[in-house]
Amino acid sequence: MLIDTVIFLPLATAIVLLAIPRTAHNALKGVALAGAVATFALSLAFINLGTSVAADQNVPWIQTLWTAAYHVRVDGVRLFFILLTTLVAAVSIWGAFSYDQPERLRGYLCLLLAFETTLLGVFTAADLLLFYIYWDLMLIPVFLLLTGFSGTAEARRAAWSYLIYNGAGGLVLLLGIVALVAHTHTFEPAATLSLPARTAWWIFAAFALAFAIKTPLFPFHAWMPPTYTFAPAPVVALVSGVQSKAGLFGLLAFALPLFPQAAHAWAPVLLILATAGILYGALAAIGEQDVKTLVGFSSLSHLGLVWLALFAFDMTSVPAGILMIVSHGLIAAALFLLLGFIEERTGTRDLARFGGLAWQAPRLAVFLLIAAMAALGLPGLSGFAGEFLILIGSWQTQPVFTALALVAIVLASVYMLKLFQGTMHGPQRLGQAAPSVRDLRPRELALVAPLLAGIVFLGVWPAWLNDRTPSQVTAAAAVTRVGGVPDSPHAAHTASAARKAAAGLQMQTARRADGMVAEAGS
Amino acid sequence: MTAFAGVTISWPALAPILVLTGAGLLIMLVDLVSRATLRGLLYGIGILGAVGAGLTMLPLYGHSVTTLAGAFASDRFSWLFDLVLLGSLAVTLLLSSLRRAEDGGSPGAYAALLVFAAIGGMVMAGAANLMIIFLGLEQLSLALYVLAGMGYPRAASQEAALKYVLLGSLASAFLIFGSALLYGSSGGLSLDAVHAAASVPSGLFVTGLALFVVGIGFKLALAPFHSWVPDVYEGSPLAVTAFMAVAVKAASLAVLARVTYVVFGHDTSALAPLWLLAIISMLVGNVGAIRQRNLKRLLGYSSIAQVGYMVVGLAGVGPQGLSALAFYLVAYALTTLGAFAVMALLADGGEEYADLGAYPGLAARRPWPAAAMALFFFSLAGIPATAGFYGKLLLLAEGLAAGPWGLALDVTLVVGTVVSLYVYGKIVWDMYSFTEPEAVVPTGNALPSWVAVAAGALGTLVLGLAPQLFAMSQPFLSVGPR
Amino acid sequence: MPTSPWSIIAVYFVVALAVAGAIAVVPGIFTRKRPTKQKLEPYECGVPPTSGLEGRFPVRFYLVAMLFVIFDVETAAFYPWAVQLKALGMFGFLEMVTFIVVLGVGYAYVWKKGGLSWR
Repeated sequence: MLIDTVIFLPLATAIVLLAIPRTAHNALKGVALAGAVATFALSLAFINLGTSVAADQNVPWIQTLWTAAYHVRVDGVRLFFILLTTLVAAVSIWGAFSYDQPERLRGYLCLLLAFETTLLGVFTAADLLLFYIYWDLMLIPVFLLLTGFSGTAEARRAAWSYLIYNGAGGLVLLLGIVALVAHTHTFEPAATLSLPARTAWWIFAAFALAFAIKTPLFPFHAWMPPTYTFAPAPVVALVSGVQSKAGLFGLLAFALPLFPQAAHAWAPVLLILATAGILYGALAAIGEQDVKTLVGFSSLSHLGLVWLALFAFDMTSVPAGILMIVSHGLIAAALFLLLGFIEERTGTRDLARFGGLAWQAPRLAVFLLIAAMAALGLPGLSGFAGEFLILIGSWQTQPVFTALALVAIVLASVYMLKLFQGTMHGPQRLGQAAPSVRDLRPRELALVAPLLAGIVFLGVWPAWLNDRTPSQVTAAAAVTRVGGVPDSPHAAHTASAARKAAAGLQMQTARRADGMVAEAGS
Repeated sequence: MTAFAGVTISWPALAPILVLTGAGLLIMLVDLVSRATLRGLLYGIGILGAVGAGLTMLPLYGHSVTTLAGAFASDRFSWLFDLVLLGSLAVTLLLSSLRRAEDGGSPGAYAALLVFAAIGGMVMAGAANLMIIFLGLEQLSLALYVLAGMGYPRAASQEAALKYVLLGSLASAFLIFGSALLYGSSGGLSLDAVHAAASVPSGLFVTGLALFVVGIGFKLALAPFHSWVPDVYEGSPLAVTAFMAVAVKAASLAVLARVTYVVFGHDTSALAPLWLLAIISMLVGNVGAIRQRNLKRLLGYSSIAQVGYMVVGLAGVGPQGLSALAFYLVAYALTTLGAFAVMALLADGGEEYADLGAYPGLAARRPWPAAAMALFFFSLAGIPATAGFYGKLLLLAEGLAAGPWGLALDVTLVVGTVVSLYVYGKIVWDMYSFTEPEAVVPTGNALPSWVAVAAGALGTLVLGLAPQLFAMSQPFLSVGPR
Repeated sequence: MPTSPWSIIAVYFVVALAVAGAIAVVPGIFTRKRPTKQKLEPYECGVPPTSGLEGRFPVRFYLVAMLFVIFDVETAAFYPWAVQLKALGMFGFLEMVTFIVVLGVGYAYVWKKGGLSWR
């Protein structure tokens, strides 16, 4: 089965690596990259398999007191999470080639590949037990990568906050899942209409807490700054670019469809937290001197926007949230990898010590500029499309929170320009320690290029993504809003109308954005 | 089936115990005639005895027989506990075979006592009579008091033996006094008689039950009756500690489960104090483990918490609850024995790797033992794809089905597990964080401990990935006919 | 009057308490107290109850005492069996043979290991 091949190819590659001698660096690199790229290439095949359900495989697994199945699926939502994972993973593994402890390269690559498999497992699992297993297994490679392979004491300490926070979140999720299964006797996310409203309210709370820690959502982000700051760049690219989306995926795939009423009941709280996070993340980023921490806080802000989009329950904002998820994944991965290259060259992350790098490394400067502009929402790049559609959509239902979020969008340009100017412009402050900073090597150019291409592609053609977003997602939003039944014709009708409207808007946006880019260029 | 003075004796039900007794006696006789160089033979006889007893158990699977005038039951419940006891006996003997002459104690006495201790545990697992429970418990305990001191060249081992015998006899006194009061209030020694008295509990009955639970609590090391655990676990010889951590817990849990199941049936409302003990144990065990610098002590604290988890399975007394408890016990046995086996493997049966200071950088020096150790710790912490995870899942489900107390137990289980993530993660962190060893320590590679490590790791993974192999499609654990 | 079988124990308990209490309390009422240093010692005559740790005696003593208790108690089980031998029949005979064999192994073990020799 194609789907199993995609999930387990990275793990199989990792096992093959174990058979290669530790010192055969070129063979290790070649096999690891080949495996990751092959995974990405295979996952591209899902695009053409159809939009509603591209692949589905359901094998009975445990049938005792309850039933669980090895049920994996690729549909219109999962497709984008999978593509994001395989692309960012391949790029990160390529980026890991310059790892500074060559004698430990094999373990490093193995863990990155194993991490990719757990991520793909999370994004394909259609059975709650399977989902949870992959969810918790994600902890192990990241924990080991932080402790054993980052080489600094700070990263080892960061591993602790990562493990304890996410482990606690995972156990709360487990409690929620068990409480649900105690009622339904199956791990298949089945119809939960018979569930007492009070129970559903509690179970949704457990799910939401776990997802909020993983994303992270303010104020559950305490593990995030140290992890993003001290982990090696390829690891952060995967954690921030892909793993943080697991929480949002959990909301879209499980929590929202299973407990629409409870989601509605919890929405005010989550909207407040999301908006607080959007503002707090932006302000913290402005005040930050460490470039990786800065981007970390900007992630907090941007992903808060996605929570706002999902819990605005608007037919435009929910699909736009998915666009934003993919967009942020690409932008965060590109930013962290580029900052990793800078750190490799200069040995520092402190904004006060940088300056004037653009003169020595013009290509690096251009790439960082594109990524930073995407992050601050320059029209024509994917960040703008996502943010704009989310704001349009959530304005309809949550004008107050949307207005507050708008403030943060303005602030985004402050901290992103601060990041870019601080590193690339101004006088050179590095002094004698690093007399000349080398520009991007061909490998580095080639590995960041696909991410930037994705950013530009989604910026000019966001409808490509949202045309493939299934009606279920928009239906879920609509249903939650009207409080109806998912399969009623009314909901389906509303949903399809909403989808058309959304697609139309995107086309307009895209055209307008093109115009603005052209104007800016002239 | 023999009848004697109106008492029927089912020989097949007693066969495992008889085979093992024969093996124990044989060890003693061979020890008298063999030379010191043939130490391996003594352990070999013990292992063969365990395997032979296991073979005689095969035809018993799925049958329920009560024998010796209802005093001893052989049912699916005792079957599984016997299996755990025999497995831990075999693994302990494997690890013991690495003992050196300077470790102290006669190998013959050592091996024979281990076998007799396992017999005591098997008697407890099937006991359906207060007197038989006490008999089995004493046989298990007396043998272990001696074994705890078998590392006597180390002063810690002598200390362990003394502490164990003092607190252990205190526990036995509680247990026997409780049994006497239960007998006084119910007029019978069999659990059925006690069950009959439970419907209209008198003050005498409640006092007796409380004392009985305190006695078993001491043996199980439920907090606050756990104070002996760290010192005894630290001081006893490595393999003996492994046996204590698994076999004593298994046998005592079997007694506790059978007593609660037979005496109270499905009405567990009277057992609130027990749930409180479990909650305290989960917290004390996990928090106490945080600051330990000795892995044996740490695993001692961890075992306190793990027993607390397993008591959750009793909260919804019934086949499902017992099944959850039993699954977790098997998972716990596999991982704990595995962890001790790794310790023995690394130090060739010595105590050097009980010190947590030996672990930093282990992954770089000994990648496979380190990976196995990490797997066992992940299983103890309940990370998915290991046996410990599915065990926790079953226990959580039992707790949720058991009302407010069950919910409290569940929440404590989750909190305790988060704390334990730190405890176990810390060691993994140490093993993988450093590239250079901080202390130069010997490293062993003996085959018997490799066998034990591999068995534990394989079992942990297989039960984690395919838990249905545990045959839970039917009401799996039935406590024999009332 | 309640006729529970426990009432006898209760009567025994009360009587024992009364007698012991009387012995302890009554002399205190009727005597005059003229304490001297000697009189205040726990034992007015005999061996001093405490002494230094220098006095030693061999640990073998404990071993022999313990072995004696073990075998003594177990041979005590022979008496009722011997009296009832006919009533117990062949099964009872074989049961005791098994018991003696197990005991014999233990005896042989102790003997061979030197537990019985006064070294």
